[in-house]
Amino acid sequence: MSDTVRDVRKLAGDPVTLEAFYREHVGEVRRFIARRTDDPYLAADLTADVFMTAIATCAAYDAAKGSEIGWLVGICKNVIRGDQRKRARELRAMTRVVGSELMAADAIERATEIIDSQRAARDFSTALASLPPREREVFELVAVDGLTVTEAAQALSLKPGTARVRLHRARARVMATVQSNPMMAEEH
Amino acid sequence: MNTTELDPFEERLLARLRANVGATAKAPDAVPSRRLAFSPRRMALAGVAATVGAVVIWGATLGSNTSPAFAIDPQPDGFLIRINTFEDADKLEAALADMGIRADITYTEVGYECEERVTEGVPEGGPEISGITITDAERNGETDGSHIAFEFEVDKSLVNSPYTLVVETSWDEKTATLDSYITGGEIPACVVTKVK
Repeated sequence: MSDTVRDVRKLAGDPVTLEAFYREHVGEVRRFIARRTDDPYLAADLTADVFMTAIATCAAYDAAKGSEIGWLVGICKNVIRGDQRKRARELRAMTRVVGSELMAADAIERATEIIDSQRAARDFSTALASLPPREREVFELVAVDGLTVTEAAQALSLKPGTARVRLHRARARVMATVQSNPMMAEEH
Repeated sequence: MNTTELDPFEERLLARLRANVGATAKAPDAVPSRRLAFSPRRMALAGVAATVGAVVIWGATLGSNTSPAFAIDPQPDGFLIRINTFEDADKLEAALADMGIRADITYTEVGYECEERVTEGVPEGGPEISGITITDAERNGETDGSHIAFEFEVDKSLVNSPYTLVVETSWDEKTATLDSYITGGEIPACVVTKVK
């Protein structure tokens, strides 16, 4: 993660700050989305939605409460979950930024590469379906997306202690599942 | 992490975003008054950020002409609480009390917020708030997309517990924030102060 000091609350009014923020995080945002969808056009729309939502809500960012990536992943989760898609469509209508319209032929191959590279993570996430949702979302962010527990807590609007407890429980359940399944135990 | 090289899609998206930000940066001149900042046309710019225990709306339309002021919908694991307007705090407290939920609801005037209140919090495993988001507000039982509402869920375990749901607002001409948390012990009274 970056040590860059910048005022994220200026995203909506300062193109220079926006570009630096975007360049640093767009790769991680695309990989995060690619771990959750294999449709390159939907992934493009979601990527655009995430950054438009970040711009629209940057006034809410508080560096004292966590990192940029923790905040951005929280937005990613909301956008992917659909909570913000309607709002994002309204933003699109107003600003005409539709990710899939920017997916010219030269970009499809690269988008497919990103999606293919995250296939194992998508399969792993599917395998976690038996976990309780609240434990699974913490486990996914830490084990699949590589966030720290603190960043995962920020993304999920949890206290770090709560996230740690859920992660511990999820790990215990996953280990119990692996140990009770001879075939999975052999693979691990 | 590579922070400089972008592929063609990323370059095009950046160009569009930069163009929009450039246009947005000029917007304040077109919004000279606080009242306009809350006009329905600004609703299209509203969004949500999942800060800890808070929902923040930028350029929000949240206020009059929506009814009812709040709604409480029972869920399998708890209750879904929707706040359409920052009105009738005492009625929301009373409705929650009828369900066995202690609540401390404070809606400050525009430009004001509560000073930070030191409370005991909730031990691990205690009742929690989740699903904090914004949605379309209902007007006479229907949604027309012109107004927004705050929405969150509280655990069923909050019912008849020693803990209190605290909801308080902080808003100025650009941002409306709803802070919500569950805590134990005595809740200090809200000391209203100007938004910093």
